[in-house]
Amino acid sequence: MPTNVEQIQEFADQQYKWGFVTQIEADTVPKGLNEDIIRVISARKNEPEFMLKWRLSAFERWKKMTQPLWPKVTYPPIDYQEIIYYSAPKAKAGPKTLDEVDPELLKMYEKLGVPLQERAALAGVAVDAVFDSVSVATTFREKLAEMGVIFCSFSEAVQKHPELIKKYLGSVVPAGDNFYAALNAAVFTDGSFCYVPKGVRCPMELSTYFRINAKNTGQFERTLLIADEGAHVSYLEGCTAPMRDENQLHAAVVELVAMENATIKYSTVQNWYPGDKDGKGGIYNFVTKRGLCKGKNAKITWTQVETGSAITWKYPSCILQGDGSVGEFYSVALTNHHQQADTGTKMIHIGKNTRSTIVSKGISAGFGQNTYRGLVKIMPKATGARNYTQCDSLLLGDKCGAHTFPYIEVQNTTSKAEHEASTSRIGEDQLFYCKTRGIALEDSVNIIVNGFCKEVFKELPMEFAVEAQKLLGVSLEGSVG
Amino acid sequence: MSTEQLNIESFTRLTRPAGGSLQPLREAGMQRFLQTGLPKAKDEEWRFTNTDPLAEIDWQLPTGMIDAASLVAQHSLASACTAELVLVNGRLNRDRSKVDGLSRGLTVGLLSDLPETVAARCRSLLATLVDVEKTPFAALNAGFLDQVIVIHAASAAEIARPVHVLSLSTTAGAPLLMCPRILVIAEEGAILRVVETNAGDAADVAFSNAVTEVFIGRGASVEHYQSNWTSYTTWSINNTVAQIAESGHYVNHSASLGGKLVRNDLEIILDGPHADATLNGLLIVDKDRQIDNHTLIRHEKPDCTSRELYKNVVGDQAFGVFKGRIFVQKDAQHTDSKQTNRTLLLTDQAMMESMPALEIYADDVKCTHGSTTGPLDEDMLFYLRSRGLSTEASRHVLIYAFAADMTSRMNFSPARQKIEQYLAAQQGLPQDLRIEAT
Repeated sequence: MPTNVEQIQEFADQQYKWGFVTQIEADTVPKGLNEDIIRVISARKNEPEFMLKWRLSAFERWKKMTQPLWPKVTYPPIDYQEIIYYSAPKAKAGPKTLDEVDPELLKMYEKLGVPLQERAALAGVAVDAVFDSVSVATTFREKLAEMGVIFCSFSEAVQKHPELIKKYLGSVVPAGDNFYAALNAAVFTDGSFCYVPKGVRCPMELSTYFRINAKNTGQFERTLLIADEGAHVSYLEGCTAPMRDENQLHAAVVELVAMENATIKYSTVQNWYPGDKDGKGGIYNFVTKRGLCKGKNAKITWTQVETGSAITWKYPSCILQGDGSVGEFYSVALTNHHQQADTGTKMIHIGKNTRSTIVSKGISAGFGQNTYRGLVKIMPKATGARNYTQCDSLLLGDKCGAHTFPYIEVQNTTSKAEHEASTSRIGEDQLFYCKTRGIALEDSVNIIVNGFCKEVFKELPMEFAVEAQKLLGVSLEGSVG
Repeated sequence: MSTEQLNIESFTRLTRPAGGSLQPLREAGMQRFLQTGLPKAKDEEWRFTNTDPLAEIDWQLPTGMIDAASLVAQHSLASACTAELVLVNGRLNRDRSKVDGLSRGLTVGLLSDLPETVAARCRSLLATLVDVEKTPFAALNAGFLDQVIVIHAASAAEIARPVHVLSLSTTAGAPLLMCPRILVIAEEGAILRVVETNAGDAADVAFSNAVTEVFIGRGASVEHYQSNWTSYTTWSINNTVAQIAESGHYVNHSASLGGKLVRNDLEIILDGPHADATLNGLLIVDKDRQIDNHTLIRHEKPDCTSRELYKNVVGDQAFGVFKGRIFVQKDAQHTDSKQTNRTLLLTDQAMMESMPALEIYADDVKCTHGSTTGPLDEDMLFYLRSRGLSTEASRHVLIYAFAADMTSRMNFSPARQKIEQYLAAQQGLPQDLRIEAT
């Protein structure tokens, strides 16, 4: 039987099997970033004047900002003038049918249990070839429209619902919030927009699978989701299958607004290219995600499963402004090879009797560095506020790292904040127990890791949870600590 | 950068001590301080502790020898200690100190007065744990270095009774800058107890910028008490680093009670296998004062154990800060580390910032930390009230019990009693109230 060290090595040597696709885009602007480029982007997208003004003000702020250095991640400096900021979505030079797709990739989808029609879409098969997917999407959209739910691409929303955009854009993540958010505000090209009207319970999970008109949103994506009084919506972002992407820097912004008694559940599974085993290449995922519980008893839940990207820098946060509002954050972050993740959340308690729960599970393998960084701030007027935080780290291998940097600020006496963290590896006794039951080593690790993440997975929508479990298993193949 | 931009004129214009074997360290310290200036709020380590007001005060250096008889009488532990070193305004007062009849193997006194064999050893270790690069205040301490207090326990010396270092300030109106420096060395197999007390007149305006270095040899054991009783107008910055060799033990009891702004940096380096460290901290802060405890435990070698418990009581408009980092080096396997931070917030104007951090680079480790911040437990209050105590009295008893959990861990009873009496007085409870360790 190979030793643990050998198995880890073998695992570490596994390559990302589906490389990047190089393609030539016809409709692009010159590389670099300046006011003219922003004007061009705005003009090409036929945006109203207020949008251009907003972008330019963000750019003004961005110019004065410096890249944040506090995250526990290292990467070579990024030259922001070397990036092409606008590239019109043209037909991709992708495979025409599923037969042309790398069989390894298809095998992976099979392992993950991705439905057949989705496999085609994910593998980058030209959309018009995927009839099923299109028709499914169209049916869904019709059904949503019936209920008054607006769910479309950001560009479409700017054209059709400028009043909503004007009211809510930047209301949670202001244009000058931070370096990457300001960059996004200046140059974002597209994203998703969703508005759920008063009292409507969104009849289905809104997922990117059928968001066909918002494809190719590029590296600067912007999502705005509004749940009006009493509305209820569950949104799924990303997918478990590895995403093909040619941009290295991703600086997305997600804004959520929950009004009185509204509930937003935002789930993310991120599996972008993590780079090769030496840490070369891979996506830099610098995301700003924030939700505002504006009205009484509003609730926002962030659930994330992060397994991809070379560097992840994201802190989905909740501003608990309405009295009795609830913020939740459930996260599984896995780093392997040379991946680095600095992720966590901020819970800002402003309203009375606000509650927040944070459950963060970090898994480090190979040379991976996994950091939880969080802030729980209970303001003086947030009487009766309550926070519970739990961050656990699991270490697989002796070259990886797991770090926890929580900040807990409490400013009144009727509130309570609790934080617990632990770091450990898979116990020999646990493995031995599984072994005596005739379970293969690899399956044992899988079972234990999935058990470790159970509290987070149970927060994911059902199908997503099943896929996420499989994804973790696949990502950890051959890795035994 | 010029000194004007750094705004350190109030320090640079002072005439510094000169000459002797400490001169190169002084020069290096000042040079470094001229580069760094005071720490800035944008520096993550100093985010919650604003030291800018230090630059606005017209500091003076202590002159002459002051008797401070009443302060000594108030704080002396001489009867329970093998030696007592009394520092007044940062300088050793020989008349008030008790250094005769020392236990065998124990050397105490100023570095400059020591026999050459011990002095050479001390010089080789001085400023190796807290060098001038460490923090701007470590540089400032070196820059104004005057006397080095040494406590040295020879190999296998078992010093039964503690050594007391009593650092007093009595400034008589002039704002005084003092930079005490203490060097504690427990050679292989030695057993040593050191009690540091900082106190001063209630009217003092002083800035005490202390550095303490503790070396614990193989299998040696040091129990270290550090308590701060200074006036509510005193600034106190303390930098303590302890390095523990193989199978060494170190226990630190910290009690932060006085001071306008207190910042304690405590770093523990577990530098040999099977070393262990225990850190017990008590912070009691009220009025508009601020006390900031930063601890760092570095597990550099395998098989080491650390236990840390810090309890904070924050009242009035006070601000308490706790940052506890546990760092586990690559290959420091079988590390067992536990950190707990508990805070009682007594008023709505009080504020606590808690930052327990884990930084782990080895896989076969057991590390946990926990932090709670909140009011007094309703159930406990109810229990006491159901026994006929008033709400006020119940609160006092519970606050006392919360804090006495820390004093009950102190083995040196004079130090323990002193703090318990202070707590009892603060809560208006009888002086002989004792809660025994379980």
